[in-house]
Amino acid sequence: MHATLTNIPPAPGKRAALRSLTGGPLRPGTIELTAAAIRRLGLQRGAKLLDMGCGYGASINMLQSEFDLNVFGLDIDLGKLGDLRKEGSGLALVQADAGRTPFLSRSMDAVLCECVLSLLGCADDALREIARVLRPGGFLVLSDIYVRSPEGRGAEDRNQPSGPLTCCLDYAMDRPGVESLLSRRGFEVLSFEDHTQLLTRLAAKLVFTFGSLEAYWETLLPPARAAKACAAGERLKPGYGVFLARKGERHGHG
Amino acid sequence: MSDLSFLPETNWRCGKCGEKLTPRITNVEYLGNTFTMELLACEKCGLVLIPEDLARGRMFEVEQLLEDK
Amino acid sequence: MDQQSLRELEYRCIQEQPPWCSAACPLHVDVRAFTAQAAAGKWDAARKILERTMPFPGILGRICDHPCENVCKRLEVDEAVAVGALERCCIENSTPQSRPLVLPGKKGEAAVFGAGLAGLTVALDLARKGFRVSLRYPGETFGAGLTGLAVPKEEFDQAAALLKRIKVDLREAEIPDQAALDRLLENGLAVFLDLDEPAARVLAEGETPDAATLVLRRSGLFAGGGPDPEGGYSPIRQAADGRRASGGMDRFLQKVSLTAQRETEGPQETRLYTNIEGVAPAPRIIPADPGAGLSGEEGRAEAGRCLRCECMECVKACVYLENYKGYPKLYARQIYNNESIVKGHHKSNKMIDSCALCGQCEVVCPNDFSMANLCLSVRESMVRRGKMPPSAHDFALEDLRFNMGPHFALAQNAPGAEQCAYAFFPGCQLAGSAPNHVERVYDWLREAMDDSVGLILGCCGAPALWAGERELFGRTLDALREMIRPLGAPTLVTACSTCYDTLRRHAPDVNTTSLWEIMDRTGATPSPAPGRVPAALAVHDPCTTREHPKLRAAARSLAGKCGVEVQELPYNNELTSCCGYGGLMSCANPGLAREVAERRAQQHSGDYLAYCAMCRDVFASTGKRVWHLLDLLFPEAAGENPAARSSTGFSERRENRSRLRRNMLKALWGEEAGLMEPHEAVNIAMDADVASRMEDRRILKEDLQRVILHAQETGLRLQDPTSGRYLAYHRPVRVTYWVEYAPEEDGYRVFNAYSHRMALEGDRQ
Ligand code: SF4
Ligand code: SF4
Ligand SMILES: [Zn+2]
Repeated sequence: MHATLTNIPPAPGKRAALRSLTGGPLRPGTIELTAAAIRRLGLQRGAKLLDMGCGYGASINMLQSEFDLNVFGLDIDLGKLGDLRKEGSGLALVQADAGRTPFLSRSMDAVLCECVLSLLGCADDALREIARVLRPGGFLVLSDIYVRSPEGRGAEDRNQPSGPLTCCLDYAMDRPGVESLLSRRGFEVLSFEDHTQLLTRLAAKLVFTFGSLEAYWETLLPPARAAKACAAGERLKPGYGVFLARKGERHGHG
Repeated sequence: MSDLSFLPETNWRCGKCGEKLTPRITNVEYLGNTFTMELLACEKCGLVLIPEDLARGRMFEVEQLLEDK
Repeated sequence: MDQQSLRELEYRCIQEQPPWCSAACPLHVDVRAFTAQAAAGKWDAARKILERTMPFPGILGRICDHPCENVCKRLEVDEAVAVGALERCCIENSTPQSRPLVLPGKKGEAAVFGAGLAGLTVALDLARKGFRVSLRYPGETFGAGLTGLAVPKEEFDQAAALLKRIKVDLREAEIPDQAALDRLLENGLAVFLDLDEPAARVLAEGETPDAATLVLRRSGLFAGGGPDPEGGYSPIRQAADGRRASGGMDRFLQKVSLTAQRETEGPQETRLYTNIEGVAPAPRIIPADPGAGLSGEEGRAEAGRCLRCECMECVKACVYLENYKGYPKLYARQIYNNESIVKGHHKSNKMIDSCALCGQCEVVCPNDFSMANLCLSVRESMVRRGKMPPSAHDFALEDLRFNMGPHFALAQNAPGAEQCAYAFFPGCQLAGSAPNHVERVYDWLREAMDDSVGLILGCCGAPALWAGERELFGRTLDALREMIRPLGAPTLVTACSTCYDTLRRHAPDVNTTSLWEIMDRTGATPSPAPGRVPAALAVHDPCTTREHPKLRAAARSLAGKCGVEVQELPYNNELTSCCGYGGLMSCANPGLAREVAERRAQQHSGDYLAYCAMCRDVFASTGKRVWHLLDLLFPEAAGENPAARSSTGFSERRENRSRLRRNMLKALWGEEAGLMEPHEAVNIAMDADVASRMEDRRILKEDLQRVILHAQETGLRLQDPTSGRYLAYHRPVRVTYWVEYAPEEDGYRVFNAYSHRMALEGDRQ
């Protein structure tokens, strides 16, 4: 009975309720966790940071006010961006796919990627894109769900994306998997912190709100798939953690 | 900030102060996890109501989840 | 648990070992699965199973010389299953099922000379693996003369068509000479000579290939098939040669070791165990038309003779093992995985905590696999690492604390004596369930024994042991030792086999004997009221007597002396099943424990005889009629039938214990028990349905008393003005209890209660 979700677009009416649960998008991570990770990068004021999958912009506001960074937000979901546009003023927001962004090569000092890769069938495409837009020596902060029990993955869990409501465990990788992908794309992994406790807390809050994880899933998925999502959570034992990585000086494209 | 509200219709009043129960922000804790929720309580003495369905339903589920380690 | 011990455990459980037939089959055909489909008349599905391992089932399935039948387990009962005849029957009653899968092209080329079963198999295997393959044979020798035997010509046409379809370059041609062969080898080809083909035999120059790799003379050259070394032809051996050679040729072309990890190829020994007790003899089915072989119907019947050999000895015996739908080898791996990740998982935790630790599996297992040891050691490790869910055993551990606390624990010399040679140690469950028996036995002991007999009330610590709480267990034993010492280190006379077993194993310094042995030895001749004692009872041995045959014998002998004919249950004596209480199963998994009890209760239609108070109560709670041995030895003068006495609830057990202590102290030693705690004075009443709800929710009467006392003293309670009832909560230690009650004449009436473990702010202790 673990939480098996992050920023899944909830059914329309539920959105507000879900946002209030985590003070922003439905993510196990907290704004403090993001701030702590960014602090460790020691970025200059005005440094350029891309928030890839910015969702409702919870991190963007903090990054601007606390670190005075030059933040660009990107999300595939127009609806979320729309909400954000209404709230913020003059934010650089872009609607685009994580694998094909309109930013110049080597233009960013840092990329923040919170709970995005596990939702993508093509994490590698996104990483290649991140490697492209980062300057050599630029930083990547990657927080995500990861699979702690990969041997629990059966054929039934194999990537079958199904429309916009995807269970993030479909694509979640185990820790070595993420690390090897990173190094293949020319990143050096600087650190990894486990924060599974936050995921458990989120799951607990969902149970308080919906009665059970299965009931939560049923607000998003048809019952049969909700049951499957729960079962997948049981087998794969999702955890949550933050990777810090740096793009090598020589690697990268363009 | 409270995310979770459990404010059922109820006949219970504070037996000590005779007050009606009103919403009150309360923390509950289990195995190192604290959750903030809104429960009915006596404004004066702070006596709280955790109804049976909450205790044996969601609270129990969450206890199980947190024990799951 | 580390990898190493996991592997040792996995090796012990032989459930996944192949049955004798498949092990002996050079191609490891899954005979067991095949006969299962055949017995259901599903010939197409059966054929599919043959196709998984057998090359050209249309040919080989008709003529296999079935070495499996020489080792079939059924031979120990009557005759082997006619696997050969069944395969033929299957081929005749089915059509080809699957098209062979061809893997993407690989670098490397092979040449096969001769089209016997071996050569055909090599060509088939290598082409499927994606190599370029040519097959050459002199005119009219396709199939090497097997046609006309039991195999129709069309099968060979189909085999040729199949090879062509998977791109084997198949041609009638003369076999090349030595020089041409050398050239092929120099070009890096892998070459196979089918020794069924005379011209290929010439090239082999009378040499025999290496048995393990089928390499002939030089690297790249392989040979096999042909006549058996001892003469005669074995089709299955030829096909197996082809399989072995194709494996070697594959390795040769891929430039990897020819020998590494090939131990599992070819006929094998198996370590499987299959119990054939109770298998009724059933001779082979003789086909009505011997020339035509088995008909479909006859084949079904013959296939039904297969025993589907497997072990599952422990799973057949144990409801808990059965419940998780696997067998210990799988469970060991699941538990290992659960332990090796940072956080465990509810399902596995529950599995680990549900085992009764009764040790039955170890006795029935041909390799002594002990699920009990595994679960117990993992529980201990979970406790050490702080990973044991607190709710799993809390209730039982609280009970232990109570039993070693001031309300029950007691150590007294015999009235008037300074020292004692023996001390009666009834244990907490007998005292909780049948306190009157404790008093009567103690009276009897003091009279029957020449030496003086003291009394010790307390707990042996078994609940802590079962919960994996090593440290608490150690402290409990130490506390018990402290109680015994002032009495002059007497021998403990136990009435509970759990106490007996626990002390024997873990406190060998404490002298321990059992009440049953003493009674049997002393020739206690009880005088049961005639006509009240049942003629026959089926005895259930407590699981903690597994290693104590003398105890079991004494119990039977005593029942006999009471005039009862003792009948035996299916799993009895050292094989006995747990009643569902052992290992705290009923604490961690009450639903499963109940099923365990019910299944055991159904194994015999008669009334049961138990000689453990817990077993008695557990069976009674399922509605089974059950006698305790003490019901026979110390019959009540009149009144209700002891077999119909219901099980004793948790609250009642505690009350029984403290009352027993108080009464005995007063009656025998003229002492007053210590002060009552204030909550004990709170008088409460409730309807039967409320009481049984409290039982299910593991809420004790004293929990209710404490809440009400607290609420009445502090005035902190909610009130419903319409009904006048109160609702109050209180958290004595780790659980918050809520009680809905109302005052009545001389106390309080309780209407409901519930609890939670989460703590309200400011309510932590
Ligand atoms: S008795 Fe059980 S543990 Fe032992 S080998 Fe058979 S299946 Fe495995
Ligand atoms: S009884 Fe069946 S499974 Fe067992 S050895 Fe014989 S054919 Fe094989
Ligand atoms: Zn009040």
